[in-house]
Amino acid sequence: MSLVLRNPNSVLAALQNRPEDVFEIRLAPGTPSPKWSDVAELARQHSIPIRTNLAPAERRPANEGKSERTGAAVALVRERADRLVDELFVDAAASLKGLWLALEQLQDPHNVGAIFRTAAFFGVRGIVLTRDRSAPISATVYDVSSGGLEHVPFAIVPSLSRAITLARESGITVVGTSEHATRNIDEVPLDRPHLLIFGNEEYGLRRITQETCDELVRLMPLGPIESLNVSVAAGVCMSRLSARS
Amino acid sequence: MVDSSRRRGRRREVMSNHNRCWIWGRNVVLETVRAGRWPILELVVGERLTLTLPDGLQRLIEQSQIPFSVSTDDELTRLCRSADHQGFAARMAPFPCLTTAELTQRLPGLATVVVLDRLQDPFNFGAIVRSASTLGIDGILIGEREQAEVNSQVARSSAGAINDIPIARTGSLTAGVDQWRQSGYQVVAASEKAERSLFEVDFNRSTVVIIGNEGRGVHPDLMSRCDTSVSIPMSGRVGSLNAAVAAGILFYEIRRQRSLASLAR
Repeated sequence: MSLVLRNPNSVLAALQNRPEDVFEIRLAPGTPSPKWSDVAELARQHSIPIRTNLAPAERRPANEGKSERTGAAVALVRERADRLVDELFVDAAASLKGLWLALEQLQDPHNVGAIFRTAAFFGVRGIVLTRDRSAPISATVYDVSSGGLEHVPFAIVPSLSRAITLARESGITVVGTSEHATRNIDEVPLDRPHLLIFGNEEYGLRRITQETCDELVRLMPLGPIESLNVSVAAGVCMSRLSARS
Repeated sequence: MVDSSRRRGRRREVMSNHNRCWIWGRNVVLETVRAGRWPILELVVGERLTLTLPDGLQRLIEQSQIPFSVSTDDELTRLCRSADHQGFAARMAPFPCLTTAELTQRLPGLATVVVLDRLQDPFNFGAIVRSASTLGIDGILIGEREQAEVNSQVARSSAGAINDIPIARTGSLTAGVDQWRQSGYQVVAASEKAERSLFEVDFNRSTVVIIGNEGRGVHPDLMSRCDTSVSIPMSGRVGSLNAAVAAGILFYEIRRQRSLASLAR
């Protein structure tokens, strides 16, 4: 299936990573923005068709699209293939550190996209996402991730239980986030790889998932994690682990 | 020609005004009623809810003399142009921002103020307000030009936190920053091109944090007033951070340092 991407940064990342999956670029009439000029230039090198959109662009509903970088230009891009969850952890056993994420029933595509963007920035090795009652990996997720989705491999699973077992078998410590946890993120030891799990925007981690984690952490002694937006909380956790290592 | 373009402009204005003036959703509306800060012109509640209004809300509505009506879910959907109103919608007056002087009066001895320099995305703005409120920032100053207003979308992205943190608006961000500088605040800009890492700065003193426009960063006039600029060290190979995530990481570091200092005392 092909996606209609509107953020030139997400299109650039797709062109750099997998140009064969970019079908067509549609520019608005007139001079494209510098970013879209870069897109057009790279597309030309890969002989990808570039058209000029004469009809006015369809507008996204006001409460779906972000206002930034959603002009009239678009690109048609094939969805990036997800991985099997086994593949995601395949080289974990050999590494002494490294960070993986799991997202349980996150429902807002902006949150999922923002977490992919942050994960690329902090060098996260892979993301496991639940399939049901979760935001699908839509064009909005690609665009909000601003290219992050091209750089972090991901797997989509029916439930996290098998992924947690596989991670543990690969030598990864499984850490859930919860406002009821007694330890904070700065107490997580850094001499091993981690899978950090974030739960639904409203309900947090399911109880059964919390029970299968090796440990639960919150953000700090003084503040509840769930009153922060989940993509901000995830960013803070990634930055703390990264800052200490 | 002129006529048709004028007409088009007017239509767009009506639509954006419309989007600006309604807030909806249970938590956002109820918190706004309870906080009593942002004037509500009209409150509309879905008919299936009137039997189960939260304790005290009825009294609160009567005391605050907010015009109140009951309507169908379809009518609510029409009013806020969204089906996820959960039976609560409110038509709002313009958000009552403080002046810089009023904000300054409310700041504690050890304070952190956040200056948003031409932040344009209402999702980012709302998310920053939410993080600022949760992580103990004392106030937010925004400018008048090229700045997302405090509107319905910002209220929703903030999860109602716009009611909890003082927000001031000014024609001159530089004057505000100058004034705080003179009273001893350190001024720190968040910038991807900064030389210092966020973690090298001592935040155990009053601080102004400047967060710049999503595309262009902090304006040179503000940058020249900064004691230092900080970035968040990247450990991956590629990419950048969204303004709201970067702001959250920054606010967390300020809070973390101060928590450690207070534990040590």
